[in-house]
Amino acid sequence: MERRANLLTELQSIAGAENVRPGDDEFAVDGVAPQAVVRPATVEAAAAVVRHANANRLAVIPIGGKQRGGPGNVPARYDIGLDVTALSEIIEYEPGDLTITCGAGITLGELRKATAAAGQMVPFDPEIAGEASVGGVLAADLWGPSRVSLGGPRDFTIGLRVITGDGLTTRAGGRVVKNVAGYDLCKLYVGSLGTLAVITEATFKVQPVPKATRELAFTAASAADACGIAGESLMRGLSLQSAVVTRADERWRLDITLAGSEAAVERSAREFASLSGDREQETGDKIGHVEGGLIGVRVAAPPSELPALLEGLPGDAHFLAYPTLGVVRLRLKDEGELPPLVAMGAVVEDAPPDVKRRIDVFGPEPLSSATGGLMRSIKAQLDPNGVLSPGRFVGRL
Amino acid sequence: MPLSGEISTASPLFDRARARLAPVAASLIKDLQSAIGVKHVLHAPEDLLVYEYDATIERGLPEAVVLPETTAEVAAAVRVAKRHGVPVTARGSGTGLSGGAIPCEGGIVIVTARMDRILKLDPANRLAVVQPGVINLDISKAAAPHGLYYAPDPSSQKACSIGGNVAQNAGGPHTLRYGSTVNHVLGLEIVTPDGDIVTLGGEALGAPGYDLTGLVVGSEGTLAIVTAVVVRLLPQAQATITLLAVFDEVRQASEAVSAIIAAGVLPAALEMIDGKTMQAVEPFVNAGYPPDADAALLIEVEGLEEETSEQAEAVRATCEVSGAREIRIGMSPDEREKLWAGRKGALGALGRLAPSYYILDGVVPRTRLPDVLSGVYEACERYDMPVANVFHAGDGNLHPNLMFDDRVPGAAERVLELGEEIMRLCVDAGGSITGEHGVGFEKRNYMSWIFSDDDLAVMARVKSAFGAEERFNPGKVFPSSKGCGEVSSRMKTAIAKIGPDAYV
Repeated sequence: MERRANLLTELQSIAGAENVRPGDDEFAVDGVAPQAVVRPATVEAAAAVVRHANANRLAVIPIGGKQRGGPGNVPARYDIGLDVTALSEIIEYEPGDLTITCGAGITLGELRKATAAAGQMVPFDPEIAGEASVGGVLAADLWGPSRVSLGGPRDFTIGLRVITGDGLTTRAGGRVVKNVAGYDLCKLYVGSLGTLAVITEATFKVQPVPKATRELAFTAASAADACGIAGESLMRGLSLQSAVVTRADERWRLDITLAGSEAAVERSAREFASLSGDREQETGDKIGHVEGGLIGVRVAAPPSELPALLEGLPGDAHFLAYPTLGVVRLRLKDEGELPPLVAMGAVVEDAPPDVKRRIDVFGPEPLSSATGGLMRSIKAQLDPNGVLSPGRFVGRL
Repeated sequence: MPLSGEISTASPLFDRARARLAPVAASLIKDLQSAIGVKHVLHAPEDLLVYEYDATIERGLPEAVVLPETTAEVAAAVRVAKRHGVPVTARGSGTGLSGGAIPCEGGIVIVTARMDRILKLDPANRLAVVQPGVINLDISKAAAPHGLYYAPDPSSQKACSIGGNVAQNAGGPHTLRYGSTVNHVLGLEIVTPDGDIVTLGGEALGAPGYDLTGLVVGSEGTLAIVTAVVVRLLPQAQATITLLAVFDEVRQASEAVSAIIAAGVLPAALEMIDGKTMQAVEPFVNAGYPPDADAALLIEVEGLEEETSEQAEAVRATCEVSGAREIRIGMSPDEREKLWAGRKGALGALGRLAPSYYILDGVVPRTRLPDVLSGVYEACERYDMPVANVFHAGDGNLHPNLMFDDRVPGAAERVLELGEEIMRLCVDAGGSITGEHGVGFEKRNYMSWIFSDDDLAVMARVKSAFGAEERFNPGKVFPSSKGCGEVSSRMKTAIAKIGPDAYV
């Protein structure tokens, strides 16, 4: 207990007394609560906190919108919750440049509001609440159905400011849409689950908001039928923003979202209707997530193999599939359903702490020796003392 | 190629090559020969000289050149290099514009030209797996019967290799809408500096782990040698319309660029051709460019017919409001090709205007384009150096071409000085020192303009993680006072060699 008292005092002297408090369940990650939570007012203070942690081998986990149960293994250690939500301003937004720079603590909701005012958007559409922070979404590499048309975070993140495990405040990428100067370390940081660096600032490419959107759906004869029509819509160049295949009561269903100009959406809707032939039309409903269950799992396969994979799922499985991306996301009622999916290379996207403690969310052997060796070397280089989110990543990095 | 067949082996060039070769251990050649076969190891001076160049200013002579056919042979060659303590530089087609393929510190050049097979074309999953020596355009040709194509289209796409594209994260006119090479690479097979063969990413999305694919793309051959690439293919657009808008003033044209974007249109390509370029191109391609216009925009929109015609109309109206004096619209492939001819033939035509030219590659935020472009013209005027600008305006990616006569004493130095000043303009406007050509050797000392010591230190650590140190493509990307081969003494004459063969 003495140690904890010291830690609070130390952090208070670094980041200001008003920005430090004892850790509690609100900041728990997979059921593990930190000793202390610090909410630095500046990037410099955040870096000082990381340097202090690095010097004292204290484990730091960056915290944004506190979305629980997401990706990653149970942390091996967790001493300091580094709350980045004070770093939440729009730093630079010039709509004509089609770029925006913001603090990592800004919520998706605030970011959407800022860009919507200019008729633009950063094309995030993960299945997560608007309270999620941009930094958290990037660290977890969360994306949604529009990835097929608009890309994922790796595609539209063009610059990051981060703090490495030993406390260097550094930049990767830049603020221009096209840039090949130096290594693109943004690619490393996006999806690294806070194990390589703390993201404090991000620059994105933005896009014009489509002038029109429409949701359409129909009942399909089989998974192959539903996936086939989605693929054909894509090949025909219809204004497909996303496509989702689901099954309910033995009935397969394809939901698509069209987006573009009025005329393009109108034409796409007509063509989609003719593609679907005499299949039963449904009320289109932009399905963004799959409800219920205890454990969220993702399986990826080449799109051509997806129908067989879907047909092979148990009749009562809760899932949604992105047919043109080759990804299916399932909700499982209990742990017992995991083994066959794990055998297919499934990654657990979210689960309660007690389940996570018994498994490796990335699968039993997530890294081949050669690839794993490179990843371990990179981790050792950027976080030499292993203080950033230890144990959370692939291979327990 | 800068070297043509008429050079005799009695040339002093070859004496220099022989002199450089003296210290090469015969055992290195022997080991390479036993690793990948006698026939595909080059070590005679007259053979090596061909690999001293790429499309830019640096030169560096390798001690041996190997032309492997398989990944295993690449790995074997890399292991031989490691054993002998010599560096390795990978080379595709040699069309690079930052010296990426030049062996600055000698050693072994691994040429991927024989690794030119498309290993797999998978239309159902809209991807292809290709060897690094496959020519960019050949992927699209192979995919065309399936209604698919490979989107990144550097101007050298008829000649450049996909391995080189991956190394440099190559762009092209259509980057504006579709992104650069990195946005189209799903996975890689690489050989590490230790000679290990490693697979990164793959044909399915979301392999767990750090995105090493994204890291290796654009690492300019300093981290790994790419031996296979999984590329994403896109469905061909249903309809494409190309517009050419002619302006009296450059500023009108560059302001139209932002206006088009502000109108909510994201064209597939948005290129600018300035008056100097048009004057050079016109006699060759008869594009019908008015002799007194200062700038033209070449704008391409694509998608469904309905959307495309709407966008074309929006672009037309915007250009008109911005002061375009003439707008031509190409609908058919022939008409579109004619409008593009001036853009595509630009670099070759510039050879008419001056004995030598020097191509720059900088990026600025789109809204800063009018000011920075004025700055470029102002600086060139101050140096009394003619400049032709033909570039990817929609991305803010400038390519000023400085024209000069290298026979005039001091001209080459002034070109480099002016080039540096223009790069400064880009950086001061919040931009970058390279949008698509890469840092290579030429711009490595500009890296510290946009990255702090800590930023660069972190990049160096990542390089260490690959065990790369200075074993792969030494002398590139990172700031250093060390020269490339004999470049510092030869830079002037080398600049003169950049000619109409260069692409932009």
